[in-house]
Amino acid sequence: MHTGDSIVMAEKTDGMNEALREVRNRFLFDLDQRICDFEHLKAHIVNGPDRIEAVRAVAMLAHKIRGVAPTLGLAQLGALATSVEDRFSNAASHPSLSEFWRGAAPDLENLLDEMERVQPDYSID
Amino acid sequence: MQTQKDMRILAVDDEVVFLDILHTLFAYQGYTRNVQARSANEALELLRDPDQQFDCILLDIQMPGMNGIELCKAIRNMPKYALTPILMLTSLSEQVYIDQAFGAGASDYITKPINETELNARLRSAFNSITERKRVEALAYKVQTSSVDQVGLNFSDPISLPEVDDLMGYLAMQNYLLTLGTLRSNAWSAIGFHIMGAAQVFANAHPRDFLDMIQDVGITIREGLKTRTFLLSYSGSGEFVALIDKKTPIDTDYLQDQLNGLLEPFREFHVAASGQNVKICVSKPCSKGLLTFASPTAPLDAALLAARQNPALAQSGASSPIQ
Repeated sequence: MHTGDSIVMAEKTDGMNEALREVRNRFLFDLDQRICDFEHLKAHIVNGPDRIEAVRAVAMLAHKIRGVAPTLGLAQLGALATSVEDRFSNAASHPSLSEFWRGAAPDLENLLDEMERVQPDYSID
Repeated sequence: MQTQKDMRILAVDDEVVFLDILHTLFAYQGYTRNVQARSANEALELLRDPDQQFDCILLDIQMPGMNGIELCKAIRNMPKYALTPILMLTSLSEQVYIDQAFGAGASDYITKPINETELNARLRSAFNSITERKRVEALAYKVQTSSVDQVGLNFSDPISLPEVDDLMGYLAMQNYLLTLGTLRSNAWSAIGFHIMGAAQVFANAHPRDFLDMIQDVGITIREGLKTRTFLLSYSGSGEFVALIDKKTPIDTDYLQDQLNGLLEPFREFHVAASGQNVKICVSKPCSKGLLTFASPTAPLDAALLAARQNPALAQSGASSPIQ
């Protein structure tokens, strides 16, 4: 896990960055839950009772990350969430859900990798 | 409420981290009177509470259950919040919802991810509109008993007209076009409506009669456009402007005749109040070519100018006082 992601919160004053640091820390602390939610939805997309609904839920989860991550200095996470949201929002227009998933799964994996990367290391040395 | 920072702001979003960010930004910038709700239902409960009063409302668009657009519409139906600034919180992926949001009564938007400078600018704009609304409300009260000079009502004031359903504030209409940007705003045409004789009514009639006349015209324009999708605003100086879908052809000469026909039943009242008959001049649809660099709001100005320069204005004797 990654610990010291360099934070550049553009267009914000130092005081503002400091004020947002606590929010950022809470967001990072709770990323585990979001990762679990994505993993759960992945299983549903592959073999769930309502695969389309699971795809929509992935888009919605990504949408939420997209809306907050850049403000918290996590630009790359925001960009990957954007890519997932855009791709999964358009799944309904794809002729085959299985084929869609084959193409879109790597995007989701990239997002999950980044979520894990930015998580603080809470292990004790 | 004395200053911008005194505004009591309600922010509604189902994402708790976003609410945390807002709370932090508000607190840092000195907005101490902000309240949060995590769903439309929670927000409605607060808004219906007679002990609560909010000056500005921020709504996320995508929320489970009732979404932000439906909530915006519900808020607009509450008399207490019919004119309160409502700012939609949108991301780029939600641009498709912006038309609906403004149609539901939104005043402006803030883009996610949120930016400190933008947030402050939008709230300043909201505060200015509140100040202006309060001035107009005070005027509306005064016009019941006072003369124009005493009231301080200006002919150019883009006053709100409560009798005209779904009338959009002129600032909100400009914001809407700016939101759409150069390409998407090109899907709309603007049509200007100039009331011939409005200045004379303003000068000669009681302010209340002037406002009644403007409302009569607003209702008439709405009636004339009712088969179309449109947004209508009163821009002040006896002029309205409408946005209509550019793809739908419109015969504005026919519309002008139709509107003046619809206005006929009001004629007696207008003449009795000011000795002045009024007529409506309609501009041709104005839009912006794709390759021009003009502002997205330029068609509004062009439409109003064209309505003012409508040949009927010069030919008709309708703007002359009735002898």
